[in-house]
Amino acid sequence: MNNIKKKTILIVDDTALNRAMLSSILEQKYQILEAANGLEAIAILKEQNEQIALVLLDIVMDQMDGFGVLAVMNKNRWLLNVPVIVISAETGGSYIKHAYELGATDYISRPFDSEIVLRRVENTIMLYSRQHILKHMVSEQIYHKERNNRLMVEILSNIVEFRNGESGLHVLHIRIITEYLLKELRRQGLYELTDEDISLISTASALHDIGKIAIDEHILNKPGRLTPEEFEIMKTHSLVGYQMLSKLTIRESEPLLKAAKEICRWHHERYDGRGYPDGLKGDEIPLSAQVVSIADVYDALTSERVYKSAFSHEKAMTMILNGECGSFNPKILQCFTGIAESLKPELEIQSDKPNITWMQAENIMNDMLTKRIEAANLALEESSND
Amino acid sequence: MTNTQQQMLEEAGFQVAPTLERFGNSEAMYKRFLTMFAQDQNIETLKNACNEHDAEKMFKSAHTIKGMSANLGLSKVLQVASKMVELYRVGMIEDAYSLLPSFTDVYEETIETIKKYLNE
Repeated sequence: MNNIKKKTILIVDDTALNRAMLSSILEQKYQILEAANGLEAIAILKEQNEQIALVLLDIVMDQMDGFGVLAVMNKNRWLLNVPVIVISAETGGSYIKHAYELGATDYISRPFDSEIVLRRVENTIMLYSRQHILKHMVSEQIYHKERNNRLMVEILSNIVEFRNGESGLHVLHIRIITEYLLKELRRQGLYELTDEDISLISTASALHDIGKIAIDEHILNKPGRLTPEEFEIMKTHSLVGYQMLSKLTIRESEPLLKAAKEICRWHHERYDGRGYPDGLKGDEIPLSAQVVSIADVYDALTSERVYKSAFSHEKAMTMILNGECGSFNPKILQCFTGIAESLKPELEIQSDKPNITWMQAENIMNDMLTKRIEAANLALEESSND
Repeated sequence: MTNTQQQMLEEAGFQVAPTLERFGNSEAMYKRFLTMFAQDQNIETLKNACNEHDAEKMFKSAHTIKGMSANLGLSKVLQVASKMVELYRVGMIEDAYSLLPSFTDVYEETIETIKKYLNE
């Protein structure tokens, strides 16, 4: 036992006798910190709430009482990780209920039995550390699942980009823009989207040009302007991509595949119906495809291609807003204008330093993943604290 | 603890057996905490509070004494402290103050008993 690092318990009581009594019960198994009032307790928690495994809390104290301590702990979200057992001579029901309402895990009334105090402390700590382990497992699972998903889709889309003579960065950028744009649309209350929807569409966005593997390399990588015939051939990539994915009939009902099919087929449609292949108009075009088409156009403009050099962010925005790249849903365009400015430094291609550009894109993706894991953990905590 | 000691304590309202049991039958612990109780200053705070008519201070110290005496099985002190806390809770503050003399009597008797027990 002595070889294992002892967990720490904070005892908060304004009476030395009471602290000594609890301490003598627990000091064999735990490291003990003591606070003589609520303010001292808060100061200690502020410094080391991550090291404290449990708080034993008296209620009636000068300098912030136990209810005050619970309120501060709740506000700082310390209660999510640090359980509190209230100890009081109080037997009134409403008093005890109030402590529970404020987030206390357990209540021990005086006089208490030393063995029972020890057991209740041990059990509470055990339950909380199980929750910690569970949280960690969930994070790991999301992380690995997401990493592998992302890797597979990136490999696939890099195959397309490889034939295109592009770096694969385009795909990454489109994914990032798509995710940010969808989140902004949701934030502004323009569309009802779940986290799952957003994750699906942005993952599927990576496949938007998959039909290009069927296009002749001479057309795909032609340095100059395409002839009208060549352009017609080039345009088939959207329908071809859709057809390729449609062959996976057995997976037809998978939401990811459904989103990918929409995006492949319709990411060159335009809001006024002048796009291809189907000439869909307005909201006949699925949201997924509308969002990806804006992302695609923006990134194509700001990137260097065999047939053009890179435009600046400002120039690209002007061209899009002037309708030089066809018409888009004005609501989505407005949202995009709002977020593009903040994304600009992250997405700027530094052609002299390709690794930095890659790293920036990677960092954004990792950030987004971290946020998703945090959200999942929060949901877990809240469900177990409800 | 001798039988005589136990008898002496019980006559002064000490609940010896259940209290010892709560301490895992450790007389050393029992003695240690009785020693601390005898040194505790809350009784002085309580006296001042009643004399100064500071209701909240009275409540806090009475409440603390209630808790300590409950844990140590000092039933006489527990009884009078609980009564004072209750009177405060129902708003009978003057009645609570007037409990002070009997509170002090019981308290002093308890401290005397503790000292006798510890010094034997």
